[in-house]
Amino acid sequence: MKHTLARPADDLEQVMEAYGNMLFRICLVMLGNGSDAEDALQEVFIKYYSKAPAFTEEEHKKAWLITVASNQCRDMLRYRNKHPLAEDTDIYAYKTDDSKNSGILDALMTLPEKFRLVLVLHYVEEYPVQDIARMIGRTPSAVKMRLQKGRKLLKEAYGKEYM
Amino acid sequence: MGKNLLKEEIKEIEMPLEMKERVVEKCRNAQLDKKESVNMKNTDKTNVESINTGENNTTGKKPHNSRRKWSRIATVATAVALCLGLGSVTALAATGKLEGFFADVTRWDGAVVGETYEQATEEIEVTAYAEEDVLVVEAVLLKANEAPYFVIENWGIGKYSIQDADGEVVAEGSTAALFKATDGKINMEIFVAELEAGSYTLTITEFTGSAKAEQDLPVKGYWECEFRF
Repeated sequence: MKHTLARPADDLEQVMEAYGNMLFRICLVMLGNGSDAEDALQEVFIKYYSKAPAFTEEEHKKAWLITVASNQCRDMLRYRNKHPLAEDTDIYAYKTDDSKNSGILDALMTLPEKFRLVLVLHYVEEYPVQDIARMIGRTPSAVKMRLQKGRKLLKEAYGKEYM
Repeated sequence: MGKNLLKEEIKEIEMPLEMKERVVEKCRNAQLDKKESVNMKNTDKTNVESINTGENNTTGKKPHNSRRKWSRIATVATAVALCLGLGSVTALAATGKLEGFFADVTRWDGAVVGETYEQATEEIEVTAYAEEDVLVVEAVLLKANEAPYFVIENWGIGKYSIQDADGEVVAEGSTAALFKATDGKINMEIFVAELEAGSYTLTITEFTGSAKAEQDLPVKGYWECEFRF
């Protein structure tokens, strides 16, 4: 029966503590604003609570959460493309130290979502290409291509070296 | 340079504590609602069963509260009749056997003229490969025995686009032909003779499901796959 509670309630807080910030960053970078990222995360956690498979290890759980989060964001972006809203990005509102503002995040947000996702997973969360390919359901060569093009686009948008 | 500015700035982003608490709380509430609705369904089922079998009536006489019980039966019968009149997908939704997000398709005046299934991204796996002048799209239904998939008899691609290595859209459209699902797998074909040799990305945002005497159901999601031609 699908409706049974699959895991203890306290696990939810542990998962939020361990992966909340990471998932929020991914959703925020993909969607561009905090309220949408919150909605996406809520869906991710509901899915985790009711549909998550048995995880063999912690890394498996983390990868599953990233996959579900990126799919959820894609679904929301698809909906938003059909029902556009004039909403600005508020990514800076969630920085702990807003004095550091090099403009790299503004440049990142000008890139299409598919490049933003792979850049964040590779250069921020430090996932190897193979793992990213598994998470987003693409081939490693496709991920490499996206990283290559993403780096190029980001450099053009930022106007100088950033790594 | 050796300095990863992107990582430095993104790692500074943190989810506010109150937002974390809100998400956990809403998730718990959603689960409680779900649990309650399951309990209510089970209670209703037990009530109807006990009415049908005459349970709790040890004397063999007509039950004292028969009027109330008959009104319950009438309510259930009305609900069943309504469900049968709504078409199979809607009927499944009404009985709670259908999960997922169905959206109404409305006309200009607000009248509901159909529905779409919105969250199929994780429920269908798509791969593609070129074979002479044709791009073969293999779709595997991961929940083939669940609604709405088992209701659908024939499949087509509702919306697709093909991009070249530079991201330029070189072809887009939908398939006119319909394809049958066998053991949860569908092999669909897109005619791509006009493409030049090279690497391409196929993006599908909608499949179309059809069944006899049913309105077509757009099954929406987002799938991308690379192929060489």
